[in-house]
Amino acid sequence: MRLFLYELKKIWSWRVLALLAAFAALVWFSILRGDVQTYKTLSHYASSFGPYQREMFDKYGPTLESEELADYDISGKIAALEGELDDWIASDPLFTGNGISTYAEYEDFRSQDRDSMDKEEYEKFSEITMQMDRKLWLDEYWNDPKKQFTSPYVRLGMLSNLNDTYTEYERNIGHYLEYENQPVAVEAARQILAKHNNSLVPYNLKGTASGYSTVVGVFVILATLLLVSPSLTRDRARHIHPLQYSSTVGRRILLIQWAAVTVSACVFSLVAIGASATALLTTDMSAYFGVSMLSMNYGSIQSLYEITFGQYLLLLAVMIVLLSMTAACFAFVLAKFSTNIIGAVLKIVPLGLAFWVLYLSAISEPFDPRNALFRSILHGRVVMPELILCVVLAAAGLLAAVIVAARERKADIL
Amino acid sequence: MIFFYELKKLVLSPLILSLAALCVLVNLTFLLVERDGLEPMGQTARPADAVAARTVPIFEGYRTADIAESYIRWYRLDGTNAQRIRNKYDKLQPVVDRKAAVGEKPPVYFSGRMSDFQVLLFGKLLKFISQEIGLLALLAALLAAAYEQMRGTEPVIYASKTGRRVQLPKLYASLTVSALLSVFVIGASLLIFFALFNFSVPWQADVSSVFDHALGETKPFITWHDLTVAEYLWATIGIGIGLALGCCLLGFAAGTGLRSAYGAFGAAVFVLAAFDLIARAPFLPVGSIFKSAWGLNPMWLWRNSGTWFTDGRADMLWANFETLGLCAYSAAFAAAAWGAYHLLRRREIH
Repeated sequence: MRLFLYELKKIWSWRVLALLAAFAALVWFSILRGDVQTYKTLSHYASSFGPYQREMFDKYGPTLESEELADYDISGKIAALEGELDDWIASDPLFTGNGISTYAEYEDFRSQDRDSMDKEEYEKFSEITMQMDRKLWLDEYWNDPKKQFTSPYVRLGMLSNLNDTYTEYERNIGHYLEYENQPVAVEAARQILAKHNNSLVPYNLKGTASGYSTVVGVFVILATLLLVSPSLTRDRARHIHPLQYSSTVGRRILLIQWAAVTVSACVFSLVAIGASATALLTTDMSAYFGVSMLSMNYGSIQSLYEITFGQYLLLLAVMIVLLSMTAACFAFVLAKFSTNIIGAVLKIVPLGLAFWVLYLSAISEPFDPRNALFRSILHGRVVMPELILCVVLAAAGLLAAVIVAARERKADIL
Repeated sequence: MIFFYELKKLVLSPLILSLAALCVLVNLTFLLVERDGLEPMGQTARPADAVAARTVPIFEGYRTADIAESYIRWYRLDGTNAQRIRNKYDKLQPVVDRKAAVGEKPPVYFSGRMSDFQVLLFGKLLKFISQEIGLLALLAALLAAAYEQMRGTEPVIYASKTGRRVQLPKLYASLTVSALLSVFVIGASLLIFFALFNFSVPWQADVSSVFDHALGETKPFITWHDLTVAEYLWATIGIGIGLALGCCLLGFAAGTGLRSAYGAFGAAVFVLAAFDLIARAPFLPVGSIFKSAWGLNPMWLWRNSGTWFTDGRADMLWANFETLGLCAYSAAFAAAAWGAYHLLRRREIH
């Protein structure tokens, strides 16, 4: 146990920790803080559903039943906004000057046949419609979503999206089933249809959590490699290993080092995940822990499986910890075949890059029908392939490390 | 003599050679995957468009101010930041006028499938290659700089005057091996590319006429200087090798300046990560001098290799930013390497 603690002490060097803290600060200020701020802004006024989806969640809880949908009266709200838009358009010279006095006339104006126009007419038409759009969108408030939200046109768009998702869900899922041929995605769409797409999971919740976890995941894996690498070759570089191997206890040193590396990887990844999750959960995300991710929002499936948002976050964390541990195990194996630190670095750098590419291509956007591993490689036939891949890699890494460490107990020192 | 011994150590290092071979292997795999992913010719080529477009003089009457305004709108810029973007594109207008006036270079705009190859070669493959050779150069320089320390021969070497100067041949050797590895990786990867794809372009035609449009955008491909496709390829390779040599200088400065080999590696990685991450940070607004100056760093240049020799989108305020960045950072890294070398010559070895 004492040897294990000494090995841990070697790994958790304050110099390496200072380097990792500097990296973490860079990642936070450059990427993650912006993600959190964007989520906060989008949550209130700027997302595809504006504040309406959250308002429904506050009012009706995690699921939306048919009587609750009727109570919210989306069509009534849309009709009221159209009336507001009619008044606005009727009093604006830009619209009345082009013979438009209601919202319906504006829609007709916009949907004119453009193919029949010559170049000059088309340019003039494009210019006018652009000016109208900018006016309706309150474009001068582009950097203030709260002010932009005062536009009835903006609110109308949000309510139409809401209506499309919760009232017209059968039509949307029908379209989806017509084009989707991957078995797991088809099954997910059928389940959503069977439960009337009743989950009130916010539209931008999964995207934010998934993008955020990708940055954290890649950082954790690379930082783990930076953390554990220097201690792995130290004994060989200082020619202490012949001394160690002359005793029974010393012969077990690689196993102890492996245990220290694996524990360090797990602890470090848990600390990093905990710290980054705390920042994310300062938003309203924790309120949605119990909401189901199996939902179709705005024509796209949020998650292929019946899991809650809390479980989704837990699975993301488990995958990051598993990959971090795997990276540490493979670094341990590669370092075993290096006699000095630069030799180990030359091997561990490609390993880190390989994990980076693997994470971005196979693990990011997990449990989503667009995930590359799920869609392009396994053609949607396997349930949760991202998690399976992480488990298989972790098992392979652990096995390889244990074999290397165990063989060393009987190895000849030349 | 010492130079050749140092060169031999690096050239015959199995790890460095394996890494170079691994880079080529990765590029081969990438190109094979891309080849499978490319749609059949018939589905992307638009012969009618191509024929019609051959007669359209794309630069005649083209206003670069429109590009500026589209960026200003896209990034929601105003004030001096917007004005700087306008000023840059005003300077680009004479280039467009000159291209419009030159009659002998045929415009083959919208030539069907060109875009796919353009993106693949200049937007992806050469970007990966530049990054790979940069990394190889950095690691080779670290290996060279920290070699004696790793082997425990430092006290013996530094006992003599000649030994105290040994880092200089090591620097020359690492620069030479970086150039050699770059040539190997670029040569092998391009050989694979041209073997796998039928990249039949008029090599002597103006690059702005041959390429469909700027990568990922709808504006034409406008280079500040008149370059043929062949010249453009060579120039891109040149900047890539230049950046690799810059990385070699950085690795050498870190390896020589810091006593710990791992500390040197960590410092070099930290510098490169800071270049990249700060360039992404939202606190640097597009159109600001600081954003543009920060973008001259090797990491930003690598990430935007497809825009070299062109306007560099809204992020860049200066013409020929890639040459400017390469010169500035090479000078900075060379100064750091030189400083580290002189410090080492006077350092106490414990």
